[in-house]
Amino acid sequence: MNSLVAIGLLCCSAQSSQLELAEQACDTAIERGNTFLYSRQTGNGGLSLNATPVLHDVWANAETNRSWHIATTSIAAMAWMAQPQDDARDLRIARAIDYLCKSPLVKRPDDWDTDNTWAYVYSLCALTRAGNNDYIEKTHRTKIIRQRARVIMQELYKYQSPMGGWAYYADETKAVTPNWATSFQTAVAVIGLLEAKQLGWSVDERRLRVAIDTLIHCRLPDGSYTYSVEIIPRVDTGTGIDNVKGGLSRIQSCNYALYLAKQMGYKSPIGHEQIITGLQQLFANHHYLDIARGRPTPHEAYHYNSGYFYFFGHYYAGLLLEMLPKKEAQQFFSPYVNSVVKTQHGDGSMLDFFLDASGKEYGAAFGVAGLCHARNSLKQ
Amino acid sequence: MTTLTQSQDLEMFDARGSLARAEHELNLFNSFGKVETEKSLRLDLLLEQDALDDSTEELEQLKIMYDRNNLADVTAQMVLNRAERNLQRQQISVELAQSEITKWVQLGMARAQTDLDYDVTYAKLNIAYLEAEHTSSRAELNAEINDLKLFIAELRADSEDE
Repeated sequence: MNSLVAIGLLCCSAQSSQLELAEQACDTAIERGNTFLYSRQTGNGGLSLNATPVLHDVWANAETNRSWHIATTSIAAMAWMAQPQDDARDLRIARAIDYLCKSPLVKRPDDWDTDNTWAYVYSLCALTRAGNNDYIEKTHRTKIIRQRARVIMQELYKYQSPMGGWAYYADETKAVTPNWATSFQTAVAVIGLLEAKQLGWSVDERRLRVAIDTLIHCRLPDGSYTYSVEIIPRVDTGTGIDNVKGGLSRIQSCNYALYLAKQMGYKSPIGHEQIITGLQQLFANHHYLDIARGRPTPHEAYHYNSGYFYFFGHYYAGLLLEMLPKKEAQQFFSPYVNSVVKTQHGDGSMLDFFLDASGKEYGAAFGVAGLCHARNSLKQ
Repeated sequence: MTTLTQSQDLEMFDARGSLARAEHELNLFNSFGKVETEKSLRLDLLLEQDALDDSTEELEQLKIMYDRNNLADVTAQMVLNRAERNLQRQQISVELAQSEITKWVQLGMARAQTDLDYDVTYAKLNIAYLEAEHTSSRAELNAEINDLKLFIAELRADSEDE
């Protein structure tokens, strides 16, 4: 009996020290990531505006690059706003938000290319977070932020597909309003719109409801979400993308959006149990994202995983951890921290997909933001 | 004479091979080729019909989705128009697949049978022709040999007289 108690105590002690080690690693990685991101913030507040744009035969388009640049700046600002108050950081947040409010709206890059939607959804999310930021409020920026958010939402509505969601290409129809829509970009848009609504900003309720219903429509019986908004969604067999192994990151972003929706009174199938299942699926199948990370060609890994799924999914997993009770979040904390920290380079950057202009920056921004939210989960 | 005989043997070998192949093709056709072709054409029709049904059902679902979302705009109408046009094309494909079966049953099968019968008959006639030709060639050659023998005999007799 005594030996059982001793083993139990040893296990608890080992878990506790593992958690402490993970917390330390998390803190260090956040600091190093901050250092990198600070070094990339330019005088106008944005992050490395097209210093070296992508020289790619498809995406060598100034407006496409600017869209990613705006999105990257937005994610970096969100990463900083997820951290405890700090005077120097407040100034950086304010500069980034000013930049997002004052830079010209990103235009549609091409008839087939609607990557401008990435700029819209992430700048909307950054502005809504800024709407909750004390320093931003204290420095009387709330009004300009709300105005800018209204303009961005109007632009975003123009790109809402009749399928109900959003996507970043329009080669299916080449129409003014694209028909193609994806679950994961719709999830980001829904999060932005819900957060705007929480702030009391004016949101097109009908469009928001349609987008939420669209996300629910994309949800599959195995807990994953279809990549595209399909007329008849179904689980892909074999090595397809529309299943858990091909949708690890989509599960996190869509679960977060639908959980938030549920909290705000919308009908949604995502509760506490589904969040836990989604996180378990992420870590049980994490090798699929590990294999894909760093590969140069989109969707070349098993189950069509792309390198750039990595930090996107981890960011939303971090947000989901923050929604869980501390005890439940703890079980995921160490593997979560390890999966992000192991990707960090010597200069503090993180990279899951090669993009000259913003690859390291968006990687570090997502990585730091996710770590910050995961860390917050232990402080509830 | 040896060369002629060998050449004729080769020709006959080739002709008998052609006959064997033609008879084999005819047997294949009569044993299952005729039925399999029709079955295959009926499968093509089923596939085309399935594609038409799938497209029709998906169009209905698309309309339901668009109506539910109520985000009607030019793009939705454009996609619906394209889907309608696709249905029209698919309907033509079904009709063509149906007509392929009719053509086969009413014309193609008989034509194929005739062609294969003709190949067998032609191969048999070819053998008969070659046999006759070979007999005649050998007779002609024997006649020439006999003439030559007579001519040599005459030459010998003349030379002995002198």
